[in-house]
Amino acid sequence: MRLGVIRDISAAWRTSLAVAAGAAVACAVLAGALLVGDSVRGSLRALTMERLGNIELAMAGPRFVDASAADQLAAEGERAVAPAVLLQVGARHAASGARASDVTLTGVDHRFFQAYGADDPFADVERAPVDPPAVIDRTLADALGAATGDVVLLSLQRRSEAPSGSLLARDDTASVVETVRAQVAAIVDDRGLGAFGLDVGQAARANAFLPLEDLARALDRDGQANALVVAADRSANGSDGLAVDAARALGTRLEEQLDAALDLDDYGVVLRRRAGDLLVESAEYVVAPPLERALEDAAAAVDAETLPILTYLANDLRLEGEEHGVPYSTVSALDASAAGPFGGLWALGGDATAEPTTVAEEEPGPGSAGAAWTAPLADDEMLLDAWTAAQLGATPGDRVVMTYFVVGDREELREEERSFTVAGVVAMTGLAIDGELTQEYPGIAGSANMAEWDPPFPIELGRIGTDDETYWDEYRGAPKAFVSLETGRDMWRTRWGALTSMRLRPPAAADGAVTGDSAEAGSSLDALEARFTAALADELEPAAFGLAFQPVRALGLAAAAGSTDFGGLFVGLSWFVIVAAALLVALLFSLSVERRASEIGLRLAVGFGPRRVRRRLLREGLLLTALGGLVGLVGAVGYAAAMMVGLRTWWRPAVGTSRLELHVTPESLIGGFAAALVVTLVAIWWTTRRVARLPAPQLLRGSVEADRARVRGGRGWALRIAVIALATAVGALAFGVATGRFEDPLLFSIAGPLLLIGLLALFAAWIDRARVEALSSQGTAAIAKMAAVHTRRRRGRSLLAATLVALACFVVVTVAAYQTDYRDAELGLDSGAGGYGWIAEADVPLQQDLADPDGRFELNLGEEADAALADATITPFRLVPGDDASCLNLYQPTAPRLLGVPPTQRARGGFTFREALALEGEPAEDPWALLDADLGPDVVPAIGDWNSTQWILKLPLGGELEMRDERGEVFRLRLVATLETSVFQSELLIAEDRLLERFPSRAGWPYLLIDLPDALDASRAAEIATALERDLAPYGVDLVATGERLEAFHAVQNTYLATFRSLGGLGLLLGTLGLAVVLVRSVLERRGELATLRAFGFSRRALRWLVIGESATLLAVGLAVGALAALATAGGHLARHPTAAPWGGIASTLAIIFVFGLVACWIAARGALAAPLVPALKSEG
Amino acid sequence: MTDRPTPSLQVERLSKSYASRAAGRPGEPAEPLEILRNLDMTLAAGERAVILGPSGSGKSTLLHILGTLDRPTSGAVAIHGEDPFGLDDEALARFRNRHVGFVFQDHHLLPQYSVLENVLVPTLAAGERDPSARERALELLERVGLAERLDHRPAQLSGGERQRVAVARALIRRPGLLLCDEPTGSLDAATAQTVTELLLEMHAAEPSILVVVTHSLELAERFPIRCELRDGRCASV
Repeated sequence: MRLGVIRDISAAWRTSLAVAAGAAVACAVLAGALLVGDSVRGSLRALTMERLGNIELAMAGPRFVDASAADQLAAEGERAVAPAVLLQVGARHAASGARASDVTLTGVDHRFFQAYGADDPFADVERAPVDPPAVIDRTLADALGAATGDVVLLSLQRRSEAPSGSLLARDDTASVVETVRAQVAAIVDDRGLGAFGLDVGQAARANAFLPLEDLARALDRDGQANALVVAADRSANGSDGLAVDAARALGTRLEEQLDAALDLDDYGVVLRRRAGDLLVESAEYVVAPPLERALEDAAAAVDAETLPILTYLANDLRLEGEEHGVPYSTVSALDASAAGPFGGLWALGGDATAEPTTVAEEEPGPGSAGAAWTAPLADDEMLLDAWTAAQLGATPGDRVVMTYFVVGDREELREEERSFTVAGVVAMTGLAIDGELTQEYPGIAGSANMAEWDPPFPIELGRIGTDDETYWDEYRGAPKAFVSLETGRDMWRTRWGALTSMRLRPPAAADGAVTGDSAEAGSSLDALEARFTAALADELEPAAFGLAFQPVRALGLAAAAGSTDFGGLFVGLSWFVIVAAALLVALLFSLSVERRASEIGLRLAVGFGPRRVRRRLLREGLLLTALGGLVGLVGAVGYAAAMMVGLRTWWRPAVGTSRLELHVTPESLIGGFAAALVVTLVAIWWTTRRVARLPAPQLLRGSVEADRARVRGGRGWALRIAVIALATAVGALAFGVATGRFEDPLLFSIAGPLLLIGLLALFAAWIDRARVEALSSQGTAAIAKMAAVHTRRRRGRSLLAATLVALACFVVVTVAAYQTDYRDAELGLDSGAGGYGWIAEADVPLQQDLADPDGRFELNLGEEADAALADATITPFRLVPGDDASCLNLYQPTAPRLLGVPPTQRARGGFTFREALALEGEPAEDPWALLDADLGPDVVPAIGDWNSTQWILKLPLGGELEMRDERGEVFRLRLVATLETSVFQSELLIAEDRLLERFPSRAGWPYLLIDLPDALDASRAAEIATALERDLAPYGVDLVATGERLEAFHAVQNTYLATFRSLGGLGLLLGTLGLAVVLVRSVLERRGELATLRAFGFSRRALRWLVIGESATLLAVGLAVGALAALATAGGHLARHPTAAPWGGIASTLAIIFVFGLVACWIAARGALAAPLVPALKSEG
Repeated sequence: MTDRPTPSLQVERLSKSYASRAAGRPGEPAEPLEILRNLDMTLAAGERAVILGPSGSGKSTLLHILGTLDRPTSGAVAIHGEDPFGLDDEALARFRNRHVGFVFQDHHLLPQYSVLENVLVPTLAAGERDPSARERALELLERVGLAERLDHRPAQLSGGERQRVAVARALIRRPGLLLCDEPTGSLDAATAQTVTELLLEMHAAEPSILVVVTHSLELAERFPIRCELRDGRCASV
């Protein structure tokens, strides 16, 4: 029997070959699609490992710590741990001026290369006398046109102690930007060390390495590092390293060890022992909330008395109604009632308005010092020191106006004022003359007199008088006034904190009196210092200060699974090709079976049961499809390899890397083979089922046509299927229209195929009941109508052929419909560009407002750019770096980058929202306003581009994404609205104030949207952009046109569409092949009929057109069905982009398919009719 | 219809040969296989002739040449005084449609068409609209006894009925030359008799030239002119 099957196959070798070829195509496409997925995943994994070398965990952030901590960790953990300085910088070639942005600058020493697992490229470098050596990668070298020995300038953000953007931070270019000169000592390849990076991303990156010591010194951070990298233990965990959870656990252990290795300096804690108390303040001038919490907890742990202090600079203190007062005074906010043990505030004798509840010892001081001030101050009360009161002529009960700077939304200084009632006047003693209540402000602290002040904020030196200088000489920065801590915090709280220092003392004696024994006091202060230092060390959590180890390797490898499952995507894209191949197999196998109908009939007649006959046919099918599948596996590898070549070359703009390599896994080969086998066998089973049910006499006559009853039954089924499928599809589309989710992929995956099925079922029903109207026509019209009627001759075959064409047409037209060209689209306010023409991105965030003339002046803009920007709309965004959330990133982003949307953008509006969350049941009229919605603690509203949230982040509307802020605290981003295709595909948008709450250190604006005046034409605008880039070169500013950015995103979409189109082309080939097979078979079967027509006067040409007309009918039906289904599916997209919709492209695509199909049929018909027909008429002899 | 020329068929020195693959040894040129040799025949309107001969004698070949479906190797054929083989393929098809009707052993009805539609098929090739065609088709079907089966499909008819449809189809264009290739070859005796009667009756009603190829002596006996093909020539019997 087995030999029989082989003999059967050999006998009909042409058909068998065709069946096997169909199975080969199905297998090649299916397994190939899975291999594409394997290859992308495998390539990303390889790339991740290459980027990280042997690094398993890393800690990197803005905070610098003692680099020697790395050695302590290494000693404890038996893993290589290396310190590094890691910065994103801009680079310029010193000679040519060529620029490169987004350069990763890493300060390293031999420990880094030990951890990374590479030879130290600095080992053999001979240092130049002046400039430190730099090792750069090929990408950077190419971008700068740099060669070994050239000097490059690296622009990096200077790290000041005062938080950037605060009152105390300088924001001029010289203070913000540090330029480091370095001489290129070596250029390394983009592979290996040149690909180094802790973040994920497949694009080639520009890398520069400097000796750690040199870079730290340039930053005034000698001996410090802002990154620690930890090597993997390959011997224990293999090249993949630890799994995410295990790596996190290791990270937690390392953080504990790091905590032990760090001292208070590393956290910016300044602890000073004073005569009677301890003073704690921050090196960053403001005590950040995590440090404040740690101070409070540590003080509580050692049972210390505390005095939290917030000291600020008042621009003016004057009596209400007076024009002038005392300029530039420090004012301390503290709990006056608790000040006693810390030096106290001593009311002038007889002037105190409150009766002291506790009378301490009398302090010597000017005037007649009275009792210590112990009453709390009300919100609008202020204590003046005796000197200031005298200067102002103020007495208790008077109203005093205080003016002071606050930092505005755009980090501009805004002067505010507040009135207070003078609650009392304190003697010039105790805290009133304590200069250490005030920190050593930059530009002020070291000044011999006030006239020498050079603070970061503007002052009017002319207001400073002789008395003020005298005060400065005597009391330096001692506060001249006191308000309650709550009031001070209310006025001066910033995102960096609301405390400047804290005083601590041992607990008061049980009787409440402060001990006066200095020796005893000193001893107890020693003890307190020791205990408090230890307690504070316990309380300080590295993670809260951004010192958290990330399992970069495990996360990178997890992210390498990809934002898009390419295997799934390609299987999804290829489904119709697979179905088409299966249908073709069914068609070819059915032709083979029909040709052998009499043989099958004979088998049945001689006693073979129908089941046995069917099994034999199935075995034949199995053998053929298995053989075809095996060949298809070779094709699958070739297909995947070709796709990788395509992605590396033609489609590189979409994937941004040339590093995608073919990866073949047995799982995909076996899975693809098995799936293709099942699909094609089902098609064959369906064919054999139909034939084996026919009566033997009919088969003996060579007829495989179903009887009328079955045809009628089939028509009933076809109608039922048509009604159900079309109703469901229309319902789904109507639902999409009603809910505004017209472009929902669900509709694509459901409505499209359902429309196809419904319309094809309608066609099937039509075939079964088509009536001849041809007889009312003559000539060509008659032939056309006859051709249409002839399609019913073999209804199953006709249906299959039409289905093949419809599938291909559906895909090709859908692709054409989505192939939108945005290059010439109007980028108006409601477009994806929001009316902006340019995006400016800076390596060093701009600290000045480009929209403000003063800001432009500070930035030293040239006349050309300055004039153009004067009439421009500029919207600056704050940015938290993170994973690219756009389709340009093949990795799965876990922590997308965030843009802070300023109120100006929310007021301006623009862009087009695709969907928005309905809060409290009401749809949002202005989705931008949702950014301010209060969604509960730790929930931040976010807006994203629909393409990114849908496809890359896979975040539905209302969905949440867990993030960590810079203090290590978890918060959740909730998607409240999505934007139509926009320039914001790489990030999520949150309100600027929410961003600063979570990431207070994100000062300045590295991302700006610019709308140049409409009067400028495109070339002039480009010139302005170039001028702006030149003027802002120290910040590493790059301008890109919004249209170009949108096109970059569309390049990805277009790549997928191009892939889709190529698959559509394959489907079309299969469809055309099906048509041609049907045509040739039909001619061969109907030679007698055709000869008869010829006998009755139909010319050879007429017969050819009759045959072609039959195929053309099927072609036209397939095209119409496929196009209708495609247009209905893409209707939402076309409706949204009516002007950019490629109607011409769609029409020409349809025309090309039709003409291609007709040509194929013409060739087939010509071949089939070439043989003489007349012999078919002969009865005999 | 009155302007048609008087039907006539003149065949002079008609020969037909095919290249033979079987003949000769490998390398030797193939001998042509002569089917018809210098055959002469003349028939006038209203005449009917039968062609007899054993299998392979060239009966069908002769019929196909007379019907312009095949071309002679040499010799001349004039139908109504016109040499059809001087026409190009298109003109020849029009000529055939206008002057020749066929009835085949296998009826070769188009299965997807009804009885009426099958009869009307030759009118589709005519190129001009003939408003009377449907009326004539109905009349012919009435005459062949199938007026009640107009909408039936070939598959729903018996063999005799199918052949009667074929006869009606052959006559729809009022051909001057009606050619029948074994018209009763697939029928039982009774049905064959019926079809024979029908053919003769129709021929009598419409005086064309009727040429029938058959093995059936019963059928041959009904024809006044009988030609037996022997060695490619027609011998009167």
